[in-house]
Amino acid sequence: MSNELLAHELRHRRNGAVVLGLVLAGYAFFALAISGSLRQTVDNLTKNMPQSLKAFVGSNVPGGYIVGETFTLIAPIALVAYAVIAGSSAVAGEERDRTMSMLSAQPVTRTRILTAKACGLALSLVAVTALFWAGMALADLAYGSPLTPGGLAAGATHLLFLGLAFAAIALAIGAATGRPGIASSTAGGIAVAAYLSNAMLPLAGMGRWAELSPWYYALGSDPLRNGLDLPHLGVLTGLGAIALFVAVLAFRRRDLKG
Amino acid sequence: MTEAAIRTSGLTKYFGDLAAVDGVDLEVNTGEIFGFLGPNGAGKSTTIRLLLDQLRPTSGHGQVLGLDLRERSLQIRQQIGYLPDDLSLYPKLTGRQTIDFFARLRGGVDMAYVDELAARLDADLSRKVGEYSSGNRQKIGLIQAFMHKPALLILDEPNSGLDPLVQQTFQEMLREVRADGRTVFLSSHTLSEVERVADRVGIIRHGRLVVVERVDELKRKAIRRLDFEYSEPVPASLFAGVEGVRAAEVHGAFAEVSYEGSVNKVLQTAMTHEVINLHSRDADLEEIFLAYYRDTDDNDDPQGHTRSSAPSASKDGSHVQ
Repeated sequence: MSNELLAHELRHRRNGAVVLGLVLAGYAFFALAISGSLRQTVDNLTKNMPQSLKAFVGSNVPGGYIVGETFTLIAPIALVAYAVIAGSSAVAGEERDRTMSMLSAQPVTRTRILTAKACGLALSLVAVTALFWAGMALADLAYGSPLTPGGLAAGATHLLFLGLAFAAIALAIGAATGRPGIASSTAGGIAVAAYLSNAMLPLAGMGRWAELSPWYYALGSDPLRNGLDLPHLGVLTGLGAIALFVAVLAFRRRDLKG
Repeated sequence: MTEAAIRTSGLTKYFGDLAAVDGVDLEVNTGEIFGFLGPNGAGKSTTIRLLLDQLRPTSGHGQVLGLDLRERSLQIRQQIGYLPDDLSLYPKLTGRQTIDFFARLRGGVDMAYVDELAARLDADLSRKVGEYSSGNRQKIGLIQAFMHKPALLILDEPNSGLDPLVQQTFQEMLREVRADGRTVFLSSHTLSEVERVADRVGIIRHGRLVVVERVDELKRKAIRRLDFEYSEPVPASLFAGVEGVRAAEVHGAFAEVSYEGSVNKVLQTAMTHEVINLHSRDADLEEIFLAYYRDTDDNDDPQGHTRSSAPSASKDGSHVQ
């Protein structure tokens, strides 16, 4: 029965996730394809910048500015935006669309509904990230770059966990309130504030404070160069787990809308 | 099985300060068709959603099929077929996919029976739900509610969007469910939708269950209305003193008559002049409440309060009752 809910969820998410994944993959492919020729130019521009500004601009990663832009800006923002939008409507969207009253009248528990939603969300984020990674890896094979497949995989994994954490936060707010608008604006607001604090605070010499931001655990360890950072992934996992736990508690307790 | 299909005691649900459902004691017998009547916003859907554990009661409790609402909701929902008010389905699924989805959530149903239901209701399952008319969407909802032959059907305003022919089929299906010993809980805001099939009717108003009555009894008390159009002006006092007439308003060649009980005397009187047109209107629930309260509260008062608007009735001294 639970599998049927999950299958339903995946059917619902499939198109959006595949399109986003392909767009990101295409972008990543071409970004890497032109990065070789652009690298010299950008390096000349940024070579005298302080380290924190280089990090902000994204030119301090292997592969240089373009790869930096892709991994620290474009891909994570796209992924987090998708995670927030999909997460906030996972449960609350059914209430907005008034399909929840049919779904919740079936012989399935609320916990099961929520679990299926969470799994569907996680799998679609995995699909998006995997396509993105595949685009990168393909370009790496075709054009060669200072990036290693392992580094790319590590970078993509960190982004995936960041997406999962924000998806769980958005899911939880939606599951607690039944309002997708509130969920996406709140979770989106948190994501933006966290992004800015991670990017800006080091510039202001307040690097330690950036560690409060989930983005720090996605990007701070420079996974493209250093590989997976398990403690950082653990922090993101913990954040997601707490959010999911809250989601289950809140969703089981309240009155359903729609 | 003699236990009640639905039994609630003091079921109450507040939304903020508003008592949407207020101390409802309801008992629906196994094997009956129970009409749950009330104006829009009276608390019908809220009551139903409490029964399904979609809303949690502020106070009070209840059992469905002998199982506690809160503790055993999953087992309850296994044995229930439900059609929500203002049904929404997944617009991108076809009718068939929608049925398949809900069937699999129930662990599978007899698809031959689904096809039989679809044929009877003349439902199109081939297209996407988003492209359906509201009537066909409603048919999908009905198939979904009936397909697993549930012990209890809870149908919230099921007639909306169905054309009269399909409504007839639907009523046959309800009678078959009853003949099968199963129970139907049927909500509606109009008496005419339930009076043909229901055994008993409960009327909810401002969240309170005000009347539970056998349908034939309620119909006997209900006020109906007939509008007549005559070929020429008729006397204002035409319907004064006619048995069963509650109020009569005559404007030249037009007459509006409210009556209760048998229509015979009204028609006999009406046809003493040449009728061009005749229009019957349903008594609305508000009038049924009034009729009900009048008959229970004012039996000692032969004059009653007739809300009479027929000037002739008071002029010639006859009271209309």
